[in-house]
Amino acid sequence: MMYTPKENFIHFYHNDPVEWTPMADDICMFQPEEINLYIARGFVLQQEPFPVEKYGGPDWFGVEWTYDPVSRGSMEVSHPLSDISEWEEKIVFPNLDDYDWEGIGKKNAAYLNTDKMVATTIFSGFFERLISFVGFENAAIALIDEEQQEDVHKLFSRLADLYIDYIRRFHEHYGAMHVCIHDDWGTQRGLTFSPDVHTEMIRPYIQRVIDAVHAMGMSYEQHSCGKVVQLIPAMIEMGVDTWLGQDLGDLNNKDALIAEYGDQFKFGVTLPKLSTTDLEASKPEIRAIVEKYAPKRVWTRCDRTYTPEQKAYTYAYTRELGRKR
Amino acid sequence: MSILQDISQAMQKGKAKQVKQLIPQALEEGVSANQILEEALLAGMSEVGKRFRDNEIFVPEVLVAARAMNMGTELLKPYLQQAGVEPKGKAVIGTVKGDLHDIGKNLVRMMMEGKGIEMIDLGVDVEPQTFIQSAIDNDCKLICCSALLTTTMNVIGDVVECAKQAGIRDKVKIMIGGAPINQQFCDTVGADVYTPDAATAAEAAASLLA
Ligand code: B12
Repeated sequence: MMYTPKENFIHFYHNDPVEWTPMADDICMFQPEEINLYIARGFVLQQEPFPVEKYGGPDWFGVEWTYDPVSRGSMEVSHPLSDISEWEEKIVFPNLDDYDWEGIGKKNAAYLNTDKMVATTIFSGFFERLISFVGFENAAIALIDEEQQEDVHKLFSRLADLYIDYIRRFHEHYGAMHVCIHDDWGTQRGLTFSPDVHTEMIRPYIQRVIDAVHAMGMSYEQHSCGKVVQLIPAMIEMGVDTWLGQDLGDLNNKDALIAEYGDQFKFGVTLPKLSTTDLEASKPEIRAIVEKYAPKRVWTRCDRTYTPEQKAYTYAYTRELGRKR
Repeated sequence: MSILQDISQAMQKGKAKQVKQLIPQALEEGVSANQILEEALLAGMSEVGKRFRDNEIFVPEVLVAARAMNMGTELLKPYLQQAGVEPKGKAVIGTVKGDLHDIGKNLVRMMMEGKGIEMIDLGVDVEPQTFIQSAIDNDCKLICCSALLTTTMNVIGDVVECAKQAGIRDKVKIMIGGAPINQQFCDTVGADVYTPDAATAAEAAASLLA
């Protein structure tokens, strides 16, 4: 029997046997331009290529972003609130009924007609969304200030409702089976805030999203940059299905994490850089890397530095090894 | 507990309102502004720095403490000026060109202010030449550069180069930091000091300017 890449990924997330180590190439990320969040953050992924020059601008809450093509990322230009207590009065939440969900689907019909697993991303999850409204310092302080915590709870609760509704529409209209929410909780040295603050202020809302996602039969990915190893046990308890993280260096030491938690959690792994860009010369190295991760319950993606040929070979060998097994 | 300890404790917990109440009370009791600055605020900020370095407290706790400290130093300023107390040296700080990350840079600035250093903050996306010109214009002996991206860390080399060309390399110390920076990089680009966090950065700056 042969699985499709989508089936293979779903088996992976359901803890059923897989045919090959799922790879990022098995995912069809759908982030259409009609949701201006993706334009603001510089991550449109759809049928029609989107011009980089148009990246940046307002997101779906009207927060303005500027896109930097060199670092390939966006930064907020200004913050609409000086104080989080004003949010209910001043922030206009996106109305999901305003979008032409069917029209977006039709426009991307060929893109979505795929045997890959359709997935989407929500940028600026909870803490990052708070930052986008009041700036980093005010946001960080609001998390620990008793006078502001109630407003933060209300905001996060409303955000959780929005995200669940949004994910449901992607599931129903486009068959999305996976969602990733971005929320950076770490710095190069450790967590941005204490584990207690995470438990009290953020976790309940992530939990609600995860429970809803699972009820739809979908899987949930947490994105967080920085050193967040301390939160892995919490992620396992919450039912986060995977976390890839993004590191400068390997500050979370993924291999050690896999050894410690690999039986309880499915990590995403960015495959290590290769010593050469020459395809033939790198083949044994690629095979060794693929073989190293094949017995582990992880999904993988190539490092940015792999050439297109090296990526193709990595994928082909991952599949080949799966067939042999 | 003495009132100095009360102020210090309130500041460390980020209780700005208490700091605002206690400082006038201390002044009234005859404690000198300089003593309040040194023994309550600056000593308290050192403690905050240590606890942050040791991961006992996190960014939000540091930020509220820094805000409480600023509140305190603002209150003390007129008294300090009257008494002729000078800041302990001046430094420029900024995030290098192409880089917009400022959280770490701001913490470093706050901790350095917490050492009594007068800080000139150039913000983010700062041209190498701007660091140098500002150091010259303000007579600063210390230039602090923050870089968070592997694509922007090399700008630090340009800052060092610019200082040489302006003929001030032997008159200024260049301190650097940010997630991708390490001691080896510091040596390679010819900067003077690298430290991994804001607390050690402030310690190093204070001893460089002493
Ligand atoms: C928060 C964050 C953001 C925020 C920034 C908000 C802001 N106002 O600054 C947002 C979301 C906007 C952002 C945007 C981007 N980011 Co960013 N970001 C981070 C993150 C998660 C934390 C950085 C942080 O604030 N840490 C908290 C502070 C307290 O720590 P710190 O900055 O390291 O500072 C401490 C020390 O380094 C030191 N220090 C700092 N400066 C100095 C200076 C001196 C003189 C000294 C002595 C010491 C010192 O003391 C500080 C306090 O202890 C890091 C992850 C990481 N590993 O660091 C990524 C990270 C830096 N970002 C990254 C990237 C790629 C980007 C983007 C390109 C977008 C993207 N695709 O994600 C854009 C770039 C925009 C631009 N042109 O600058 C990457 C860089 C990777 C690389 N190879 O370079 C990182 C490493 C994440 C990753 N993928 O691993 N980011």
